[in-house]
Amino acid sequence: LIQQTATTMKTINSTLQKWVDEVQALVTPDQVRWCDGTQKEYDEMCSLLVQKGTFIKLNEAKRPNSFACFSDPSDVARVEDRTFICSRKKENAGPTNNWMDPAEMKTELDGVLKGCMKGRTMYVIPFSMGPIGSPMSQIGVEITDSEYVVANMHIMTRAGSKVLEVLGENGNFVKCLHTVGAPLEKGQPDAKWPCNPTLKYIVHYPEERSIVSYGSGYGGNALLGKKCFALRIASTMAQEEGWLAEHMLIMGVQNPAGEKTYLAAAFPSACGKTNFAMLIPPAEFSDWKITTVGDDIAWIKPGKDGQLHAINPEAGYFGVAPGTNEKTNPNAIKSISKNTIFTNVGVTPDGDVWWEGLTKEVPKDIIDWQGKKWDPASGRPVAHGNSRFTAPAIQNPSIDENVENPNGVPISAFIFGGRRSTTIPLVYQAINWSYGVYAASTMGSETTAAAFGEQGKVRRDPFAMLPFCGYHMADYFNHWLQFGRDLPAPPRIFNVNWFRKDKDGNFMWPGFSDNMRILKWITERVKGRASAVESPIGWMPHYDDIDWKVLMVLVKNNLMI
Amino acid sequence: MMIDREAWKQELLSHAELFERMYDKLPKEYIFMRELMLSALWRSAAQWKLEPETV
Repeated sequence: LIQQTATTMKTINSTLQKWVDEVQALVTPDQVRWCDGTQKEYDEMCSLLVQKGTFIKLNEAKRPNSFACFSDPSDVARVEDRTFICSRKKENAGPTNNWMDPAEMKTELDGVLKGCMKGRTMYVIPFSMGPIGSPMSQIGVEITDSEYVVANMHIMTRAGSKVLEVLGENGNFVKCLHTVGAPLEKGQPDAKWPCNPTLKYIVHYPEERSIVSYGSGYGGNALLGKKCFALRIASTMAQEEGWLAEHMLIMGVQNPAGEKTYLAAAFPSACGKTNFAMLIPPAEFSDWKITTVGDDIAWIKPGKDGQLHAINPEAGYFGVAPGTNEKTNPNAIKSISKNTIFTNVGVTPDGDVWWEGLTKEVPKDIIDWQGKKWDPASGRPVAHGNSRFTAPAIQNPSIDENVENPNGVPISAFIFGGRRSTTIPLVYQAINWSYGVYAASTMGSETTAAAFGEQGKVRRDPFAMLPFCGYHMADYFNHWLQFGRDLPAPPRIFNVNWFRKDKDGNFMWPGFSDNMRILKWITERVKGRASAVESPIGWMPHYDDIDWKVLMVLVKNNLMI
Repeated sequence: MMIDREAWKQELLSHAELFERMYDKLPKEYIFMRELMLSALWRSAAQWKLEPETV
């Protein structure tokens, strides 16, 4: 007899109940549990994961209420070649997405999903992307057989029974079905990181607003609220309904007079997006303040006031660990000081975590991300290159006061940037909305670090959305062009490049906190107070428009940025 | 801040490559905007850059 626990949690939404019943009949779990989103439930999940050997409890004195875990070596990143957009028509998925006929895909998936949760608990997680009840938020329900996913969803989204109340009888929700694809026979011991090492599917049905993820337990493949829902499905909703779902950070820039300007910025991965979102201004800009609304995803809608308003649909950070340290991102280091889940980082003998770049020296006798004692002679890294931390956003010291504002924050400018060792200058402002959209559509980033003076291979990544756009990329460009035309005063658009190199291969711009100098010009441009000169590609600051104070060496030597 | 004309001409060539990939639905204005940028570059100095104002 299948048992449904937490009986008070049953939903009054008949569509949801019907879907849960159908899935249950297909995947045949041992039991079903509706998640209530409480701290008690989170603690229960964590201790269950410790019992199973998935989680390692970290030293309570050094890293309170935090855990580390190591994934299966085959399950460490998103799987783009197994990611499908199953729109009814192939041309709606476009040339940059994998497509399969939805009916065919469903037949194929029904085969693999049959009995896939045998021996496991099926968790039903109602979650809100964005503040619960906000008109800008959307509701999703994730069904999963992974406790790791339940724990992470607690941090990354607003999950639990409150969401069901908002959903009500007739509310709409996105169906997110996830399984690790590793059913258990009676008495069969579970793996520490259950997954299907050889078969994975990340499938989106944009017209039906539903997602099916099979075979992986990792990050974007399993936490379906993030890239699958908040970008791929939401981008198709946004196109239909006249808003934007973007791969963007949202930050506030407050000047010494206390005036705040909110910006949204898109960068491909490995361009320091999280660092930028949590930037701490250099000492000579101590009267300026940066606040963080979001570090990865922005949902942007036109408000009645004619301005664009943005929310961060997420409630936590799923950040890349390697390279994060007290110098590159002090706010991230504080954000992960407690209540954090670490995946695929190294674990020290005294029960703390470590990754490349955290400190100069590798701690002695460290356990690497494969759970083995690390051999310095092996040449392998301690932490996986895509190792992650999951931390509540509320722990970020620079969190913006409006992060829970149901109406979001007003956006005055968009910033686009990539990692380019040549050609693209430090900053320029697009001539108008259309040219800005053109620049964002053609943005690129170098795939590998360029060797001395040599140009790396540039991969075009329009709006940093190439892997995340749920429909035809060129339809997406058209949506952006039209979107701006319908706004009385569209935000200004800027392009930046922190990564230009000189002929000897050295970075020409110090980056990190010094990016504040560029932010200052951008916010002053938005307010109509800073000057600029027309270049062949757009508006650029005069030399004296940038606040160079203290950076005099750079001023003299690096006019070519 | 410097704009190297020849490097930018190469950059615009690779834009055309991207556009060709999604030609079926590409916004028409992109083709003309690319042409206008190319024309602007042809009429600009080989290296367009900023000098500190010395006055």
